[in-house]
Amino acid sequence: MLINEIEAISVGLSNDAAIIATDYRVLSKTNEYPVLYTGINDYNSRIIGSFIEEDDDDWTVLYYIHFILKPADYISFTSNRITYRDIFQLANRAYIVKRDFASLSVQGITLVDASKISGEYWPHAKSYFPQIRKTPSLNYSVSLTGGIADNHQAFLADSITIQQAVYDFLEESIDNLPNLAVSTEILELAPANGSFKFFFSVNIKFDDKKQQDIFYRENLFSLYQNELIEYSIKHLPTEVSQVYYGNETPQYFAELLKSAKDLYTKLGQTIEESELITSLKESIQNIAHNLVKASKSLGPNYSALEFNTVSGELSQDTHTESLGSITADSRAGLTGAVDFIVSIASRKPQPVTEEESHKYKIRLYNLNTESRKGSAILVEENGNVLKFKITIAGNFPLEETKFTQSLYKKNIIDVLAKATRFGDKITRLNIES
Amino acid sequence: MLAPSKWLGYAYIWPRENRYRIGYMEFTNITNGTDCLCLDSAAEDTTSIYLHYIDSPSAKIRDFASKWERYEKSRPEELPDKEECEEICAWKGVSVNKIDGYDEDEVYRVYTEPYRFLSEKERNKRRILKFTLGTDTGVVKHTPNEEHESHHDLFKCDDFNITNLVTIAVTKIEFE
Repeated sequence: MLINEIEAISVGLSNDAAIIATDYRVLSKTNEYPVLYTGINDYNSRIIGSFIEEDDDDWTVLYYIHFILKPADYISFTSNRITYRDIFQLANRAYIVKRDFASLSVQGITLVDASKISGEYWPHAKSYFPQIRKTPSLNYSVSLTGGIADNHQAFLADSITIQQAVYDFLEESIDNLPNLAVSTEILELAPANGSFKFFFSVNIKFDDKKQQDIFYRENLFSLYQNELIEYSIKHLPTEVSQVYYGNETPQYFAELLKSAKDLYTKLGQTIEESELITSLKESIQNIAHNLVKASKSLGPNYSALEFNTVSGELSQDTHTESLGSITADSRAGLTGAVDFIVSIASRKPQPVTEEESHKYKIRLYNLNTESRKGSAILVEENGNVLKFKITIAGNFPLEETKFTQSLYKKNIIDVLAKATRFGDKITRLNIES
Repeated sequence: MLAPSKWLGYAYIWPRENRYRIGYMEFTNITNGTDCLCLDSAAEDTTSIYLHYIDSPSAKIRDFASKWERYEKSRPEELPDKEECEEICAWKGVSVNKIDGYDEDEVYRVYTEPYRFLSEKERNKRRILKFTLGTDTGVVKHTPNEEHESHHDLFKCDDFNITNLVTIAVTKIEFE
């Protein structure tokens, strides 16, 4: 029996309750059309709908089924307590919706008795709410909730601390990626209603404009950065000793490392795994340190600090994905992790920066003329090649200087700089001239 | 009189703005009714492995119908804006996903996961076709989408024939 052959029932009401008016959101789709979606109708009820079948004869027609759900049932579904199949079995009524293949516009609605829908139309027994992939967005919202925040208030000192801390880690986590000619620019957008919420947007700037287009389309950085933040909030406390002391790669750290490696692969860049691990550890430490700082006001005045990525219009906050939430309890775990990292670090050599400038012969292989940051190599007398980051002081334009010449023509140049060393190894050169 | 202007890999490119011919294949079905240069940066690829949904155990012509073809009879109001070439070209192409260079399991997951929400009837009917494009079938263009980066548009040539596709495997959609 075809779905459009099920007998219609009439209850003297129009069928427009089946139409999604707002908050339409696709939860699962094939390359061709949406398979599962949700939204709200004009009467403020939750609708969930899914694809049933294509019309056998008319190639432009698709049949969908819509259910109107009680809020509690929808929450049970999103929290994996019931499956989509359970919804088919719980429902008394369903709407069969005829839609246009391309525009998805509704061409007809039939109300049917849900018990008349035969088992062959039921979804799979394990049709749990789909795992939504992280929105690849570099837009973030950070909210204080509970306490005075629920009255849209926060103490100014607390709000400034949060903004500074978030700014620090958003900027550093991308800038700290080795060997990429990128820098970041952090925008803060006007706060919005809803407890007490801040909006941040990260812009990534590339030296090479051609690269910029490719990078933007792929949203590679956002995937990486979101995982990095999520890792620091959710998994660092349990994995900290393995990562920072045991030099192991436990499960979640391994996933994060894979995502960072993917970023380089997709950019067509090579990177040593050890270099990447060092960079990741630095970034995680920095994020954790700033998260502890940002959440220090949790307690009597606020109950939680939530981090989300936001896609679509930032201010409307339509689609958010949680990266994690810090409460007074989980903050203790993070503080412990930061203390642990600091105590481990204190047993190792600390970076030392020279007080006086010295001459160095270097060759640049990477330079962002706007941020004045880049990377260079230096060949020591014994033949060792050192790779390190550089920063060029001053504000004179860098175009057509010895620095860009070194970059493009591979010249070895003399610079006057202060080196930062980690043991014997140079990790950074602050170039004065 | 058209003449090949340069030799690019294995494809002759004719010096036309809206070119309709690549190698020995003609693409008037792609260039008709639009000024969009859908075939730009599309290329023949007879070696890579691709995935595509099919509706029965073997591929049928409907399985490879583009949106444009689906609306052959009732085109007018359904067409996207003439200006939106990306959209028009998506209408002209058939969605396929490339496996080479991507995580095959991941691409399969993208294909199968939506089926948890579909009826047993659909799950029993649908298959995933793993294939290579034989000669004289068409050209592909990399068009990553939200679902997966491996997404490509297949532009069928005028003489496209389903039997020229080289089937590697046909997999039923199943879950534990």
